[in-house]
Parts: sequence; structure tokens; C-alpha cells
Amino acid sequence: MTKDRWDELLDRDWSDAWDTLPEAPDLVPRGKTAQITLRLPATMVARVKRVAAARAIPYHTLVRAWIVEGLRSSAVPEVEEPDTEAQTAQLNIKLDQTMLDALKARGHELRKPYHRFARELVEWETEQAEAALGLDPTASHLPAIKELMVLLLHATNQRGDSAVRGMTRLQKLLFVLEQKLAAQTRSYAFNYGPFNEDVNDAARALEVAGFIRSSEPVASGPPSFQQMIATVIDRARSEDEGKVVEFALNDRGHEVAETLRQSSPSYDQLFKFVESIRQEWDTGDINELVDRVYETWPQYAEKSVIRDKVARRTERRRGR
Amino acid sequence: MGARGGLPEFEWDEHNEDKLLEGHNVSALEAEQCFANPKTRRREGDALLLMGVTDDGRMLFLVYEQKPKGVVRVYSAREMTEKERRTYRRNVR
Repeated sequence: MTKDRWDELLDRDWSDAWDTLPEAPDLVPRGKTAQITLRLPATMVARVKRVAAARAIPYHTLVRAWIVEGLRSSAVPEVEEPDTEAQTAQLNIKLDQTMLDALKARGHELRKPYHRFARELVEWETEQAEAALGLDPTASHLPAIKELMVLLLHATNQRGDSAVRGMTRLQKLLFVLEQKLAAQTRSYAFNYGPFNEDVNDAARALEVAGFIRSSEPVASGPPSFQQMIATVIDRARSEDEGKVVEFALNDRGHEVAETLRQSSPSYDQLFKFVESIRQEWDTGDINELVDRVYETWPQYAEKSVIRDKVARRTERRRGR
Repeated sequence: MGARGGLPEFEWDEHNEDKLLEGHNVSALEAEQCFANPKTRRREGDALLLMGVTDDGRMLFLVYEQKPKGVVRVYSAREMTEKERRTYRRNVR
């Protein structure tokens, strides 16, 4: 419904027409459980997850506990107004209806959206917890891997192609991006150089959400770590045999990427940066990309089972 | 505020809560109370309309939509006019 439409409906006096209008459809009673979706900047979600990890509890359990405590106390969280950073990430927290009703009652009492009260509570508790745990809230945060992946698949390489061919290429391009962005990475040295299982996870999540099409079917349920490793090794073999998995956004995915890009100047800047990395590093031959990554960040190649092979290939290329 | 077993599920976010509070000083809770208390509801094209009353006796007119699975999203609300109050009383008698 557009704003014009509801303004038009609101501006009218309905007393005369009311009895001539048809009855509205029956209401459907709600279930016993409920959830609240809090929209936050991606960096804040990363900070919440970091606090949860430091306390070794799932982040949704931590946030639910903060909300329960916040409702018990009469204190109102004091946080600064949200900055210009886009609220691109969200936390879905399951609550029972009684708790959700109590949250709405508190919002009503304070005359502020109960979503805002809950969000400010989470932001305030995060700051308190960081101080107690000695975590630095201003430490550089990388954008969420899903956001980076969406922007990467929206950008084009020198051939004008936005699809990324192969899991190895996807892993390596995201690794390069993180290194160039913040001189840090969520990847670690593994069998085939820098590797981050979250990349597989994020690709699956985007596919399930209907933003991405890959040339392989996705199994139902979250994959185990072992399955992901097996998948990567399997895919690496497949690539040797010339069968390459392709990752590409569908129309809806490109729309989402474009919305993200236009959501703030910082995302637009990030997209331009991502595209420049694709132009520079996604140059066709997968071996060339792997060799450059191994050569530039040798510490991530230490555990690689193909390190010698890559070194010989690099030597040959230099000798040409 | 008592148990609200017969209520539908509502879809709220900061945006639609803000609109209601800033524009008409109606909270999400008050809008929901109008669905729980005696009410009269009508359809007008793509929109659904409700005349209802809050626990504190505010008589409100609401514009809402019913999404799949019956989830209700309230778009706007305001106080009823005097004439609408009479229509409300006649309908919920």
C-alpha cells in the first residue's frame, strides 16, 4: 500500500460509508511463539557475535537474556542516536508471546517504538559487555561475508562477467578482498591455501534465500564442517577435471546488491573497491590467481598440499 | 493488559511504529488493543479498516493489511471523528 493511498483513507470521514462497505476478512489467531527482528548496522551485529563468542554462548541466547534483563530493570538504555551507517544486518530473536507483549508495553510506556527500545538495549549491553571483557569496540570490522559476496557477484571482471567460476576462485577473491580492505581476514591456512568455511556457508545461505544460482543443487539443512571441507576438496578435484561450479546472482540477487550499494555512500564506495579488485585479480586463469595469492601472502600457503606445485609453476612463469 | 490469546500476529518494525507514534501518537500496543477490544472492521478495495478502542478508552480508526498467514500490518491510525464514534457505537452494540 502506498503512502498516498493510506493518507487518502485516513483523511476521509467513514461514518456515512461504513455500513455500505463489505466486512473485512476474519482475523487469524497468532501462535504461542513469536520473534523480534532487529535491524542493525553490520558492524554492530559483528560486535554482538564477538561478545557472545567471548562468553561462549550462542548470540541469540545472549540477546534474549539482555532483553529479559532490560524488561526486569526500570533503567532506560542510554545510547547515541544511530550514525549514518546503514542498518543492513538483522538479528532474529525468538521470544514467547508474554515477553513480546511486555516489550510492547515498555515501548508504549516510553512512547518509543519497542523495536527501538530493544535495539538500544542490545547496543547498550554490547558496549557494557565489551568494556567488561576488555574488547575494543573500535577495532576494524570487516563487512559481513554475505555482503562482500553479494557485491563481488554484482561487480564484473575485465571480460564484463559477473559470475564467479569455481569455489576456489570465490574463496581466493574474498580472501584478497578482505586483505586489501583491512589487512586482515577470516580465512586461515588450509589444504589449498587460505580457506574460510563461512564462504561456503554464505553461498548456501544466499542460494536458499533465492539470491544466487549455482550450478550444483544444495542439500537441505546446514552442512557440517566435514561436509564443507569434503565439498571444497571435491570441487577442487572437479575443477581439475574441467567441471567448474559457477556462482552467479539471479535478477533478484542483483536487485538486492544494487539496493545495498545505494543504501549509503560507504556501501557505494565498498562496491567500487570490490569491482576494482575483481578487475585486477579475476583475470581468467585460476592458476594465475592461486599463484599470485600464494606469492603475496605466503603465510596462508604454509599448510597447502599443492604448495610445491604452485612454486614450480610460479618459477616457470618467471623463467618465461 | 491481560492475555491476548485471540489476537492475530502483527508485523511491526521501527519504521511503521515511528509513523504511528510521530504522526498520531499511537503506540503499537494501542493499535493491537484495538484489535483485542470490541471493534468493527471493513474492506475498502485493497485496504482494511478498523474502528476500535484502546484499554484506556482512546477511540481509534486504523488502516491495515492482512498478509499471508493472517499477519496484520498496521499502516496508519488516528482518533475517530465525532460522527465515526457514533458509527462505532452503533456497530459494536
